[in-house]
Amino acid sequence: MSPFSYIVINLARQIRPHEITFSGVNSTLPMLACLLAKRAYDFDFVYINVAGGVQPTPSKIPLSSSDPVLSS
Amino acid sequence: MTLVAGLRAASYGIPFQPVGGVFGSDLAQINDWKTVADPYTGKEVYVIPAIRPDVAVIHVNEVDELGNARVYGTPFWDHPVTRAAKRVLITAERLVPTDVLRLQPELTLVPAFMVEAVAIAPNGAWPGSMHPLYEIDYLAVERYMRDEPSGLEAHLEVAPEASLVSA
Repeated sequence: MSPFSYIVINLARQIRPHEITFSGVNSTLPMLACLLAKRAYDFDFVYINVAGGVQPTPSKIPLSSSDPVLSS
Repeated sequence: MTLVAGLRAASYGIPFQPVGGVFGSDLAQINDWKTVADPYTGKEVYVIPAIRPDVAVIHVNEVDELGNARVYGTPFWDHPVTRAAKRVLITAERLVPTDVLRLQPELTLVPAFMVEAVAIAPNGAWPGSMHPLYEIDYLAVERYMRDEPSGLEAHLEVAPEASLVSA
């Protein structure tokens, strides 16, 4: 496992059921952690972000944590 | 968050804006931000001084001849900066009739009375993105970031607004 994926996966593991998570600008690692957790976990939690997205289902995984695809 | 707080303070005509958080961050010392005691609870809170830009320049999706502007991407930055700045200049992807904007006035993000001048510049956000029309051009950004004397000239040569000037 790369150091990069180690951080993302362990951030994702911090998320608990029914929590509300947020990723801001210049925050690719937290963004990836939230998107990963959405795919990996069966429980409900809310993901919101600085692009204005609420529970986004982006058409692709962006490089930037403020990419407009995170708002849709 | 702190930047938007400073812009909000300017928008509201108040000297500073309290924000949650900041405690534990080196940003407070770097920026010389102060805390004050909440007069209701006595608890310390960081206050960000007002930021009042001389000029705000934003690129929008649609504008009418008067300067009424619509943004179809995220408006959370454009809104406070246009309220905080002394002057507002707008570039837009396209010109639309005022009658069309009047049909849904709630979609107008910047009202004309705040706007000093408008220019129509299709693809004007390049190499950045303009939701939902086009995405960021990462290759162009990388070329722009190269530390070469000719880098800026090469960038400007292919910029969409360059063809507008020569046309």
